[in-house]
Amino acid sequence: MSRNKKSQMAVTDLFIALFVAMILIVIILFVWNRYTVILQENKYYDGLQVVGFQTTDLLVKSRGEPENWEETPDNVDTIGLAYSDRNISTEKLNAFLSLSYANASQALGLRGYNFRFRLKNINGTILEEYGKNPGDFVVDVQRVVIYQNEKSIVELAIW
Amino acid sequence: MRKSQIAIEFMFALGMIFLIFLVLYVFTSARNSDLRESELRSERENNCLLISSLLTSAFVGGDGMVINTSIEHNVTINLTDINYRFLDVEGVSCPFAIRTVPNSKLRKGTVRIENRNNYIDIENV
Repeated sequence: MSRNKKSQMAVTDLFIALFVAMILIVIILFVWNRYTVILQENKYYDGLQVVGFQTTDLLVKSRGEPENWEETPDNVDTIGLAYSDRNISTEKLNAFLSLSYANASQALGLRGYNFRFRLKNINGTILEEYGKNPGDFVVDVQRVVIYQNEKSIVELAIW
Repeated sequence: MRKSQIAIEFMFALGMIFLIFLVLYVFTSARNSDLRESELRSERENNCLLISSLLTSAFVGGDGMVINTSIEHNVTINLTDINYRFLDVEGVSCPFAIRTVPNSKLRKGTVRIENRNNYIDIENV
C-alpha cells in the first residue's frame, strides 16, 4: 500500500514538473518572438537613418538636377537646396516650398516614407516648415547650414 | 492491475514529454528557417542601402567623383517608372533620389561609380 502511494506521488511530481516546464517554454517562446519583433524594428530604424542622412546630404550639399531647377520647379528631377556646400539658396528653398508634397516626396526619393522639413535659426526659431506632422517612429536629422549669411539648422524628420 | 495503471500514467507522461519536445523542435526549426531568411534579406537590404548611399554621395560629390566598391549580390537599377526610382537587390528594393543614373544590371563583384558632369555612371569592373 505504501509502495503504491509512493509511485502515485512520483507521477504527481512528474506532472507538476511538466506543468512548470511548459510554463517556462511558453515564456521562452514569447520572449523569443518579442526579440524578433525588436530586431525587425531596429532594422527598419537603421534603414530610416540611412535614408535620412542621404536625403539631408542631398538637400544641403547639392544644387539639384537640373542645377537651375528652381526656375521650373515642377520639372525637377532631384531636389538640392544649396548653391554651394551647406549654403542654402533662398530661390531654391522657395521653389521647394512651392512644390506639392507628392512632387517633393518623389524628387527626394522618399516614396513610401513621410517627411517634414524645417529650417530653423540657431536659437531654434522655425523659419520655414514643410511636410506632414511626424508619426511615432521618426528619424530626425539636423544639419548646420548657412542661410542668408547666418548660421541655421536644416532639420528633416522621416518616418 | 495497479501496476498497469501506473504504466499508463507513465506512458501518458512520456507522451507529454515527447509532445513538448516535438513542439519545441518544430518551433526552433521554423525559427531557424526564418532567421536564415531574415539574415539573407538583411544582407540584401544592406547592399541596397550601400549602393543607394554611394550613388547619392557620388552625386553630391560633384563632377569627377569616383567610388569603387564591391557588392555581394546582383543589383538592378530601374528608372522606367518616373514616379518610383528604385534599386533592386535580388527581390529587395529601396528607393533613391538620383535620377541621372542609367538603368543597369550589375553583377556581384567590384563596381565603379563615377560622376560625369552630374550624370552618374555605374558599371562592373
